[in-house]
Amino acid sequence: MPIFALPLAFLGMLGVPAVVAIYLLRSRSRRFPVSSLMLWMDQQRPREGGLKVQKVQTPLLLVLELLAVACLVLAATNPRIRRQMLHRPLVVVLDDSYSMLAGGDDSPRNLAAKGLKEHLASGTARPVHLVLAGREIQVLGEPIRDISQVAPMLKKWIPRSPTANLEEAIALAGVIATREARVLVLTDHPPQQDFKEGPLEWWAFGRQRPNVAIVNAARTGGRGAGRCLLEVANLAQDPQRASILIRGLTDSGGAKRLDLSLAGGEVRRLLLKVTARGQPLRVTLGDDTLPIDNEVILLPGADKTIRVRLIVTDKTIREAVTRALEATGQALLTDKRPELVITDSATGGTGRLPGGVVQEPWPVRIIAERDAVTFTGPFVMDYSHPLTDGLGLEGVAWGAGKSSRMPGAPVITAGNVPLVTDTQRLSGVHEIRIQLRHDLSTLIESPNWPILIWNLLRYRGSTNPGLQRRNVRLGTDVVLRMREGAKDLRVLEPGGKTRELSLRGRTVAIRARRAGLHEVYTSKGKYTFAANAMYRDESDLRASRRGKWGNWLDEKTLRVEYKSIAWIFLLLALAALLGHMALLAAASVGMPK
Amino acid sequence: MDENFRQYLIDGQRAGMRYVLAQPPGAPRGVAGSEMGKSTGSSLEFMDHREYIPGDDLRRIDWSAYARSDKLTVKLYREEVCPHLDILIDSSRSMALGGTAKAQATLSLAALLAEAAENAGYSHCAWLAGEGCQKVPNGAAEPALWEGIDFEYEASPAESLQRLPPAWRPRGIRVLISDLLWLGDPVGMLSMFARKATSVVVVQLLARADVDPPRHGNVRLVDSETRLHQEIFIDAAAQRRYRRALARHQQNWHRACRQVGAVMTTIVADQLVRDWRLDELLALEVLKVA
Repeated sequence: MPIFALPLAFLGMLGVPAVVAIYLLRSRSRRFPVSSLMLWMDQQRPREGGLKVQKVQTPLLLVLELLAVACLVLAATNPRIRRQMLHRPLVVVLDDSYSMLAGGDDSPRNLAAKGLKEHLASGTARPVHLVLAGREIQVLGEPIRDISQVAPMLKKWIPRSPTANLEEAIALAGVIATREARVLVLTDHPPQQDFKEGPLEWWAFGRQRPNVAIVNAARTGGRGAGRCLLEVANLAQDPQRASILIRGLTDSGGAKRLDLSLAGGEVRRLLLKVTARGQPLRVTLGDDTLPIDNEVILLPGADKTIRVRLIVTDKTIREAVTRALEATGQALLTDKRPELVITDSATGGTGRLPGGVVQEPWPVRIIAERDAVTFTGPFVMDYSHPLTDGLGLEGVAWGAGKSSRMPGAPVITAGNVPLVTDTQRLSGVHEIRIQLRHDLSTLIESPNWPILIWNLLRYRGSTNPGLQRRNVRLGTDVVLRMREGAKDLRVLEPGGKTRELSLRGRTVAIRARRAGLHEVYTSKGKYTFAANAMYRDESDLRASRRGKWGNWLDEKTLRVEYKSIAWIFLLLALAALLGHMALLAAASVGMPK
Repeated sequence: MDENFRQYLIDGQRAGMRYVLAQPPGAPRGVAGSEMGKSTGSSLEFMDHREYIPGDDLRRIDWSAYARSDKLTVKLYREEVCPHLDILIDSSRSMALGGTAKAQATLSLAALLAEAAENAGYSHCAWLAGEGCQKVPNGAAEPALWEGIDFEYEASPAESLQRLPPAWRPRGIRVLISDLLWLGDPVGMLSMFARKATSVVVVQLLARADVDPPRHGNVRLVDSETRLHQEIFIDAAAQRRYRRALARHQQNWHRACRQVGAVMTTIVADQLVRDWRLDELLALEVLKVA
């Protein structure tokens, strides 16, 4: 099928009716009554001509003139046909976000796959690279060089990512592609900005659909009773009714159903009491256009209680520490197998540990130097250190010794005076030192003190074996710290697929690639976490559209892929004109003198 | 009859008041009357001498000549005749060619000639060459009273004469008013027309469109009589050919007229009705200014 590089030239076809009109008018005969035809009998009849405006009798001259006009117009449009056996590479960016699954069989994903197959079957794109654009960018398999490889490759495209990083994927496509390559983006929404001719085309197969989704869910309380927070959003213009089924609120396993009437765009927050201990909480919405965001699973939180032993002689410090520890709800003051020993001894041991202690506790030394001054800032903090998370020391008076020598890596300093340091031993134990003269400070009275204690507990807890979190959002990483000597990490994903992960050290990050319950098996134990698709922007299908943007047919494409066939029409026009001249010449020869 | 035709006759009659029909080179012959004929007769106007033949009237002997020559001769006197004009009007459709003054000129000329004849003391009769040659009702009266004239005949006056030859008055003047545009040898028709006539005048009345072919371009010629048509492209060459054909046709008629002793002239109808100048007939001495 030829294309016309200059379609405006088709306006020249207006010349065709003009030629016909001229021909008809020229051929029109005047009626002339005469007394007798006897004096005209030897006159030659006209070869052309007739009544005023009679139907075109298609004389050859008119046909040739029209043919010449048509051929010249077609030549002016610069018609081009695709060159044979010319292949151009194609990089296809596939939107891997889960909104592509909306609509079931009629989902943007299925429509995009179908459109891509049709395009590849009819075109000359070879080879074809597929790039999955999710939260991370991934090249899907080997380049496709034969049309038969398309369908099997597309089967691997199952959009589950919470977002689609299309810009990065397009940038990667630019790296993969050669200079002659084209880029095709398959998604469910329009581009942020329009673009015209060029190597990039954007095909969207989405459709505005109403959707009710669980956009937020959290569960508090470890293996004991707690609460559950749910946020259900009506991502539609019109009001919707939604029915929620909640299972696992109580140990008896009964289910609770809630019927909600949501206004257009409303986000309803639900707070539920959870009395069940240790079992998953399942929250399910009714079926709608996007099932993935209709269910969440909330596991009870891991027990993060840190056993703390206090060896603090100073009453004020002891009371302050005790109060802060109790406020966290994650500390157990005990002498048995302490994980953290808080002392105000600068150098002394952390006390005799009871027998059978497997793990050495972390000492936290609160040191009160005699020769101390009050520092009011500026304080320099290592914000990458877990102890500084959430601290804001503006306006705080911190009394500490003036010595700049304190073992450990500085975490918080006042000028060159270290106030908090962290020393990591070879065994992995961290020794925290805190310089503090409470009588010269306002730190204990500030909110920073419980934050510091909280960070301390969490820092210590992060090195304990187990999952940092048990309920995560789809696409995020779960950090697992394994027990000493653990081997063979295997993850059983929802749906039954198993993947093996390599171990480097005791900490591994596991990407939650699918929504649902994941089971992690190691040689030292089994862990479970739940991943939920709770992304409001991704569940909002109101911005989905269908359309095509961009045009590959630019000047470069015309030059590279198509060859001009205007010369054919020029030759035809020339032949028509020569025929026209020959006919006229023959007519003039035949005229009587 | 079309009322316009009557007006044409009236106009022609009025124009004819200035003219008298002249005696053509052949003196009129006819019933004895107030005009001098060419032959000898019993009028008082001396014409010629001849030798006495026994049986001649003794009163005609020119005794003076006998006294001079001792030869008996008799005097010849011009005969007295009553001259008559027959006007044959071609009533074919071509004589009323649309968009021209041909019909007007035909009838006006016929009326003019009739009036001129009256002025010269001639009797007249108008004839219509149609299905046959038939007298125009009231054709012997003044032209304004003529009736029954139309131009619907589809053939030529030659056919009319053959179909129904008229009872002409012998030894009269006969005038044919026609465009003469038909095929056929004119000699036969003229011979029939001129039989026993003293003088024959053929007036070829043509429209300007008959004389000048149409301008350049594609034309569809429609024969006003047969309704046949012919597509033709007019250019300068075609115009020349037409004029040559017309000239040949006229020459043919002139030759035929000479052969039968008739005179022929061509008058352009549009010009006639514009100024009523009859120079051609005056030149032929068919008419004289009164």
